Amino acid sequence: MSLRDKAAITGIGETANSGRSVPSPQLGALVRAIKGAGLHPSDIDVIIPYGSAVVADDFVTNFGIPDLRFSATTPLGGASCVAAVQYAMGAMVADAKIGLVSGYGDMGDGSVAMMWRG
Amino acid sequence: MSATQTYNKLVPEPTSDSAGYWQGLNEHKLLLQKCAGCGTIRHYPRPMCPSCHSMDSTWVEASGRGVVHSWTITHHAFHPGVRDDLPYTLATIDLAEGVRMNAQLRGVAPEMLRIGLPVRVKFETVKEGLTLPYLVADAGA
Repeated sequence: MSLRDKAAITGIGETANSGRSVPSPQLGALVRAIKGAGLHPSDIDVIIPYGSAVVADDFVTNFGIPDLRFSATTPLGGASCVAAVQYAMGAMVADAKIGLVSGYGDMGDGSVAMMWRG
Repeated sequence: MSATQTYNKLVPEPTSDSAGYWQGLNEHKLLLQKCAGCGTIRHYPRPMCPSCHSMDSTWVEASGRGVVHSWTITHHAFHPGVRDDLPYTLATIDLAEGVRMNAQLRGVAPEMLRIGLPVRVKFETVKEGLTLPYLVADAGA
């Protein structure tokens, strides 16, 4: 089954390196992406975090998500964020409405987040 | 208990989010994060308020009083450092401030444990620069 046209990027966020803990810039970027899409953090159904240093629980607790439906990681080195896009699309097709993919700059110099809506 | 030179348990690694919490314990204070945006108190320390998603927060000192939410009793040493403590009770408690925390509950026999048991936090300096909280029954509650 093709994933073509099954989901779309509806928000993008970015932050500078805050010099704080590893989750901080990711959280900040994700909130920007979520708000940019006109949604609320607790709306999120799916989280595909970057596969090191953070886990989906970090986003569940900081966003106050009451009922996350699905999470996974896609270990593929620096390309894990790219693999995560495809994985998130699969989740959108299967069941969920709103998903998050989190990325993180190699040198901690920024964070990019994107979101899909099935 | 007094600090020992041979503390062999796992130790925390404070982050920029949690450093204030650990420093508070060294001063025998239980500090909780309070959102600077909406005033919601959260625990454990984390970067963002789960209610309003502000990333600004301050520290407030907790009462140190709460009630047992749940517990487990550990009989097996999953780490060599806890072998001499066995069996020990790990309790999850609801603090008066509305958040939960985990700590060892000491001095309460298993048959006396119950949900809702009043407890209070005490402090134990286990090694140089590291103080940990533990719980005892709050007889005055």
